[in-house]
Amino acid sequence: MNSTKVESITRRRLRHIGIFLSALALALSLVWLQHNSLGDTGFSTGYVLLGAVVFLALYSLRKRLSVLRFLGSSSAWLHLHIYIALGSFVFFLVHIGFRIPQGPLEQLLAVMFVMISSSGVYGLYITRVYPKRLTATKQEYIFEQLPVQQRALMLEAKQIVLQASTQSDTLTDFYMSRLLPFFTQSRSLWYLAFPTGRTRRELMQDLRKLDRYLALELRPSAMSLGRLVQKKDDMDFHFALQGKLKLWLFFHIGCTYALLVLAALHTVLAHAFDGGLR
Amino acid sequence: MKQLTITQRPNRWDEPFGPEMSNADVDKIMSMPPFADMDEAQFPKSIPLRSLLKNDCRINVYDDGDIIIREGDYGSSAFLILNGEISVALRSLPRELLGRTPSKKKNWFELVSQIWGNSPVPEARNYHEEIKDTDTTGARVDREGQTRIFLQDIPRILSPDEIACMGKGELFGEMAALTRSPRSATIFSNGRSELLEIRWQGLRDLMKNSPAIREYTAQQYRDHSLNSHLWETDLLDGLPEESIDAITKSIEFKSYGDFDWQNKFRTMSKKDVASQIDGEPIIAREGDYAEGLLLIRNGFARVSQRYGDGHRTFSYIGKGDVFGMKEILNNLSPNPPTQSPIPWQYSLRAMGYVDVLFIPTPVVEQYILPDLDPKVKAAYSTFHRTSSSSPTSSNAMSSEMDGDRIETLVQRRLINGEQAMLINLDRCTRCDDCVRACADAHDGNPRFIRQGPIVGNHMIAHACMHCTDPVCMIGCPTGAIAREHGSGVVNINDRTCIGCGTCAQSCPYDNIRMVEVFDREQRQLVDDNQLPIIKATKCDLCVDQSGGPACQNACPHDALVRLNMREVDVLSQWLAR
Repeated sequence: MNSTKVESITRRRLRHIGIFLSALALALSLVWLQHNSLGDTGFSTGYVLLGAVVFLALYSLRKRLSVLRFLGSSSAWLHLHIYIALGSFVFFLVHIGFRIPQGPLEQLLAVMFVMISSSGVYGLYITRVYPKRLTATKQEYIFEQLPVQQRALMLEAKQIVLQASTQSDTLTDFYMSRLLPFFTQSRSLWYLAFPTGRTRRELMQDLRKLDRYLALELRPSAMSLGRLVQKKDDMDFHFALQGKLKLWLFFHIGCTYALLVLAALHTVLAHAFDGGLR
Repeated sequence: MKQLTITQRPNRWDEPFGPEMSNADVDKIMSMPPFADMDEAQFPKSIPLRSLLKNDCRINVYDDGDIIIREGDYGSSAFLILNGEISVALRSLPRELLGRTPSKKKNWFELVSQIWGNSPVPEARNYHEEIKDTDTTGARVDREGQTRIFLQDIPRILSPDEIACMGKGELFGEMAALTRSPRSATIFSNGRSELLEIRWQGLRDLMKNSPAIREYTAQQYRDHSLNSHLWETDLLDGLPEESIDAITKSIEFKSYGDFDWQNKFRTMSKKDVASQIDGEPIIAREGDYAEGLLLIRNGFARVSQRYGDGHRTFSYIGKGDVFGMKEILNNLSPNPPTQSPIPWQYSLRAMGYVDVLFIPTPVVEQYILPDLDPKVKAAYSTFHRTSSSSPTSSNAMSSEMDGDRIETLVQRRLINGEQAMLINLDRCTRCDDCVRACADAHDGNPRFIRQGPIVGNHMIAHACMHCTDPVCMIGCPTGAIAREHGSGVVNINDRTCIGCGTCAQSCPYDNIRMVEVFDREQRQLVDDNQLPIIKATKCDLCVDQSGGPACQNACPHDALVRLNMREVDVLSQWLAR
């Protein structure tokens, strides 16, 4: 079986940035030349932009055609996607002349383009940062299996408390007041947007404080509940971050389709109303 | 009520190896050595000797020049010469002469049709479709309808001293079949010959129940295979033939560990590391006199060194690697000259099952060292006691991989993988594009799970690693699981799989899954007793598709790679990326 060649990511990134900057400089030079020749750069930059947007939108199609290996790897497509997106933003600014467009369609188009570009930058950020944060939990969860696993966790906690309740109500009362909502209810929208370990730390602290009120034989049960709290919090953390990693893409691709429609309409109108002196 | 389709439950010998084998053929074989000397009572009632010969053997007839086995093929059968003579090529033949054909890949239309043609029913099977044998490697078709490649003008291809002959009653191919390793030589018929081909399940049961076959096989190895194994060893590359012959005469063949190691692996892996290491058979002990050179013929061995009251894993070595060269070189030319001979600086322990060739030090000094490439000698001479670089061979651990990672890979036997799926969790966004791509390439059924042991910030996912030692192949009653020609991919023939689950249970890494199967109309396939038909499934490395494994191709973030765990340098570079 063939051996794999491993290229340094830094070296590859530097090479790609070099190629990108060279290509962008060349393209902008051509636009500048056309502008100096009193040519209409609106159409040329517009078509470059349209072509770029179409190519960028093709990436989601490429992902569905994974069986056609000759199309190239998904990683190569993503690299092209990022650099062409960056270049298209520069061309966008040149196309609108570095000012807010006039006309409702153009303004809507510009807003849509900026939204998609911004979501793309956001996506680039979270795809680079979130994996490390997920790995730091030292546990791996598959997103679709989380509800089932969380329910199993809830039942396990309930079982521990039921067994402990035969000896004392202290742990049971604590469970009912503090832990049951934690195990059974979904986290708040604010947590899903900005997950923190605050609730986990509070519950663990309270469990530790409860320790001195528990009989010796109940302390292992409290420790087990503590482990379940940590596990549930990890699951919630995974749910929040993995959920955002999926949701932003849904938003990004959804807006792209809207942009394509608006861009097509803009192209037609631009040609239809292209009067001017010749 | 669920709709069911009743079908016949498969059994071990439903598809005999040679359907044309008759009782008369079995009688004839039973009258010949070594079967004539076997005690039928030694065989269990469930696997009587006569049934074993009838169902796990077949008689093949070859004409002059017909290629019987090709060097590099992953075969799963041994051959006993009933009549005639065969020739063994002592050097490699050009590929085109051997009539090799690549595995059948899907054509462009078949690839594209996967986009819309995948079944919405999970694990759907088209059993009404005829499976055609596409392994067309022959240049002619013989009277039995078998395609044969034959060598033309043999004297032009091979000189007489490049050929060894074997005659009636001799057995060959057994070591490759039993050790699941590639054929070591090309063998062709010398005139007309009649051979008994024994598939490895039958050979396994013959060896288990007949001491005569067991001893016979060991002697055959010494007489016929040892020499070619030495030719394969990098360290001995370029040595004159007289040196090889002298080494062959002095070599000792040793085996350590348990052939069926995977049965104990799950129990052992639950113990603490120290207990596991203590339980591994010692091949060479740190501190003992370095009495010779050890060549690993098969399996894996742990290189460890004492640390405090325990042993720390430094590295692992496998087939083709050597152990002890540094000590021998050091003792031959000590620096300073007054230094006493140094003992083995590391311990070598068998992990699972290991075949070792032992060459005594005087033989190494007389026949190997004088002709050793100076660069190779220099590489082995560098000896740093505290260095993390392995003292053994070029396949050693590089200094970039930390000891904990090495230990984890060794403890879990993940070093066995030739196509392990590594996922860098610091880059993986958990998007599951890899799983979707795998499903697209397999009729809507993913063949791996994005879960598995985690080593540092890397996961080794539950995808078949196409191991160097594919223990899953042990015990398959029908031979459904086998290595493919050329690619080395361990694949499961869905047709002949009877769903016994032996491979799934044997796999130490839980990479094989048993699934219930349906027809295209979503009706579950069941047998006469209404019990579901089950099949074994696993990653096949997309062997029927061009462009390599779909999973690696589909990952947008370069987080997933299929790696050979023996290529430690590549592994280190990737882990450190």
